[in-house]
Amino acid sequence: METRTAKSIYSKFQDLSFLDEGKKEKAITTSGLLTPKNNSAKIDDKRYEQPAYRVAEYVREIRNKREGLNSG
Amino acid sequence: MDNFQEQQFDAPIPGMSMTAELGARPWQQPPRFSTVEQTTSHYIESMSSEEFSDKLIDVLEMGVPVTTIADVMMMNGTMDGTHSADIGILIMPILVEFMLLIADSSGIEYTSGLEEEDTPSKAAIARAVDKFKKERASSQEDKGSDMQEEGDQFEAVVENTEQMPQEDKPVGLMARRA
Repeated sequence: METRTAKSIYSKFQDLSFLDEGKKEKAITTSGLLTPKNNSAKIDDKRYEQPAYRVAEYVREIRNKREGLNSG
Repeated sequence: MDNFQEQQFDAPIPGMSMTAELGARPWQQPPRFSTVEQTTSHYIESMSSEEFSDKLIDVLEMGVPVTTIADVMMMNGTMDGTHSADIGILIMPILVEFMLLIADSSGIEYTSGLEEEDTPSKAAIARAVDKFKKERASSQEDKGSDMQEEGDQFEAVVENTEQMPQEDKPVGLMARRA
């Protein structure tokens, strides 16, 4: 049984460019009383139903912080 | 090869799962957190503490790779019923990334465990040696069979020569000699 999985799983998350593929930017109207306050683009995106996709989003967020730390 | 042997020794004894009532173990109960979000926030909260950071830095300075620590944390979380095994595997990249962030922010030298291995593993070397031995054995067998064939041919020639009709040589004191 494989008990050391972190390396192989993390290596699959090295390239996170797939997160930006096919992203639709919804035009949000900023005026009007009935304007939705939250961006529903994320909710509409079917990929968010996949836990691995949400994990990739978390990873990217933390990685951006780390890269910011290393560069600056 | 070493890892393989290590895992063999780590394996449970046959019948070990029946030494406790079904459902008595934490991992046989419903997990505390059942979603990626809940589990992630649980880990991030515990990993954000100063106590954890200090311990992590100590362990990383000892040369333990980040991936190994993530593996242990995931296994531990599964065993104590915090989350299921599949959620643990899913959130593994988050654990690794967060620990890398802590390590980078502390400025220590550490091993991430993601480095490419320059030298082949012991298992790969053992496989190559096995392959070489097998090839050598098969080539020796081939040589042996060639020699056998040559030997058979030699015996056949000898038999043929033995069976060839021999001229009757005159015997006797007064017989002519060539």
